[in-house]
Amino acid sequence: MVISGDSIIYCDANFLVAYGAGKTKQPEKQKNAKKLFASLLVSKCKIVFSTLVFDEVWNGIRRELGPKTITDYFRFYLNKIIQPVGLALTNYGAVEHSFQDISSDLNNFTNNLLNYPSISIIQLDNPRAGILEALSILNKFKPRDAFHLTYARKNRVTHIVTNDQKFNLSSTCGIDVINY
Amino acid sequence: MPNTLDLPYNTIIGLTVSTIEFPFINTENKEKPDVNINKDVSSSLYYPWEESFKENLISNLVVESDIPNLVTLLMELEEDLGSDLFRQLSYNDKVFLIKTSGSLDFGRIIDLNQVAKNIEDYGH
Repeated sequence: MVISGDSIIYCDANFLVAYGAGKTKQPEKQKNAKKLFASLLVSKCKIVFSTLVFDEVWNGIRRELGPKTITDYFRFYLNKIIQPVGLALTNYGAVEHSFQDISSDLNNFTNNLLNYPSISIIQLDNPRAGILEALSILNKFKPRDAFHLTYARKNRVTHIVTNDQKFNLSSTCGIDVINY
Repeated sequence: MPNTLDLPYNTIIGLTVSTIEFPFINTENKEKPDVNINKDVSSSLYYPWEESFKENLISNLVVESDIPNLVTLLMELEEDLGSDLFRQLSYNDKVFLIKTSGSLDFGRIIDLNQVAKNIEDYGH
């Protein structure tokens, strides 16, 4: 796969988390993400994100941090027991981290990305046409993924960095997938 | 601050974002001017050390930085990326990678698979 200065690379949220996370249970994936990001910088390609990506990164990380404090041990452990069968208590006896708790790291990370010249944030020039395009591919993709792809297609993205197998279908839209 | 500076020929001036944003613009006004440096401008700034010291990277690149232990961090970055990739990066790219990669550290080990599942659940 050739990435040149003319390439436009859309990075998904999982890649960004793998790149930005401090310590992970998957250090190899983390290292690969770092190397790939460095390679993208060297290639002088245009690296792009959408607002959807940041939304997913912030939420995905906050939820993974787990409970900040446990308020009701019975409900908490009951919830753990029923989770494997796909059930969950609405009140699971714990208070989660707020965004304020993690805002400092998220602020620094996000601002550093936003202020870097090689990185751009893309959006839909024509939201009405974009929504209709996302709608047109709902037979292949879920709504949020359809919007990711629409952002990419409308901004002439050449590659998507993701490990999400669903996006392998995007090659049919003329967008190559880069795994890490 | 004077409006003009008398500097000898060949003086190298290091500009930081804060330098660019504040002192040279509207010096009469003490408040922060409503001016943003856009990406095109910042990307066109010339950093002389990038060209001059390409072959002697770590020791010469650290001119001034707000990052403590920058030399150590650069060495760690080289170890992570491998020398070939490391040497192809500009100084700014290296500092950017140091500042951003691994910076989301909340004091616990993050399970990337679980994050992926959270994102999947959240999105749908």
